[in-house]
Amino acid sequence: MSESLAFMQSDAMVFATDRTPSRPELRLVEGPPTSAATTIRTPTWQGDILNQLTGISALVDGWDSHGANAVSTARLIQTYDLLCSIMQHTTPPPTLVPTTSGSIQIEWHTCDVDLEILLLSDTDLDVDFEDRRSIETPYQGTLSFDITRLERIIHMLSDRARDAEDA
Amino acid sequence: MVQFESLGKLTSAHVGLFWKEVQQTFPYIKESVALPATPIERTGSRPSPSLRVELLKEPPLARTQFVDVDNREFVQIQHDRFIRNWRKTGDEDVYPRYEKHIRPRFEADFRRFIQFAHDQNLGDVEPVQCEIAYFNVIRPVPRVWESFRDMHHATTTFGLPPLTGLPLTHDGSHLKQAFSIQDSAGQFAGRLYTEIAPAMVDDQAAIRFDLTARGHPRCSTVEAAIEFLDLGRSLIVKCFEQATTEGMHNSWMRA
Repeated sequence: MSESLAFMQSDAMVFATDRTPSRPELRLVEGPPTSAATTIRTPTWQGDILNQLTGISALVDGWDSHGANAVSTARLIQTYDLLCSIMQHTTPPPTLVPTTSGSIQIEWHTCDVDLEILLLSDTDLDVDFEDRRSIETPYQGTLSFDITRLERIIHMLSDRARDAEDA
Repeated sequence: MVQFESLGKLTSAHVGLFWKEVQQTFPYIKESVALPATPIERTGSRPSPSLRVELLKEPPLARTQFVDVDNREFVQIQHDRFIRNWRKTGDEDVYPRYEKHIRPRFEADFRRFIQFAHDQNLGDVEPVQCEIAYFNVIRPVPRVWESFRDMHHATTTFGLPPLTGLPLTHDGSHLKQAFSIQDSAGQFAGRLYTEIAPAMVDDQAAIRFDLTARGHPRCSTVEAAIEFLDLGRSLIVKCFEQATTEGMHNSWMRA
């Protein structure tokens, strides 16, 4: 089954393709869904994330040779939506790791920060955070509709990444 | 609309079986491509992103509409969504009361779908997010607003800069706003999105005023989902009233 990933406007009610690509393909589309596609400038992390999501979307059931589930469409889209809602311009791109249960774990191990977010369901995120500089309090727990704690961690990580770049 | 964890086992054969159950009310059927995923509203994150990612498959997942004989009311189901719509089909149409018509029919049809999914071993339909939306068309009213140039006289949500001494005239405005919704305990429950935009309806200038309340029920039950829809509908009605001018209210009272 061939698949592709495409960006759509949030209020898109129709899909922007009337063809099926022969291999995974990324498209950036802006404007009304029925209009011609326009290439747009996006934060650098988005390209990296899309490449990773494209790779994960190609995994089929049993991809680890031990009965792992393919990652569901819902989790792929949820990963992108979540990152779009929390990432800042200077946030380093995370590593996306498929799990054997068919979900995705989002990981940062940089700037003395260890942060892992496992998507448990449409709403629940399992968060594991540790600051190797021992400045911020470690956190382990499940977040759902209130992710202000996660927002603070991402903010701190982004600041450190910017400082490292400026140094 | 109620959103739930994807029912991976739902096939077109099941959809056909469900149609048999509702065919008397909805004799017509229409198939389209599934609506794209809707992000979960959360506090601590930005409102819904302007760009979205979609995974396109061959064949794409389907959305089925069950339409009534008047083409006015319809139910839509897809792997992760149950939607019920009412639309105006003619000038004579009057929007039915939410409490007496829209709400009970939504609840009855949604419960029927949940029971069907249970009976067919498709999995549990547990609401994770709900949405209620109103799409209003505001037509021109003499001496209130008559063209896009004075559309700001119909709404209270935006004014114009003075433009003093500038060779500029207002040709129209387009406004999008997002508001966080708090539940009765003061906790984040979702967001209200509004959009006011110029539109052409029947070759005449009009203002399109869309209001969408989206958020999570306090728990994954039908009652909690309906509770959120009630809250969202109440906010939409009050917001619409406060966002439109007295001149418009007076014209609607006279009609």
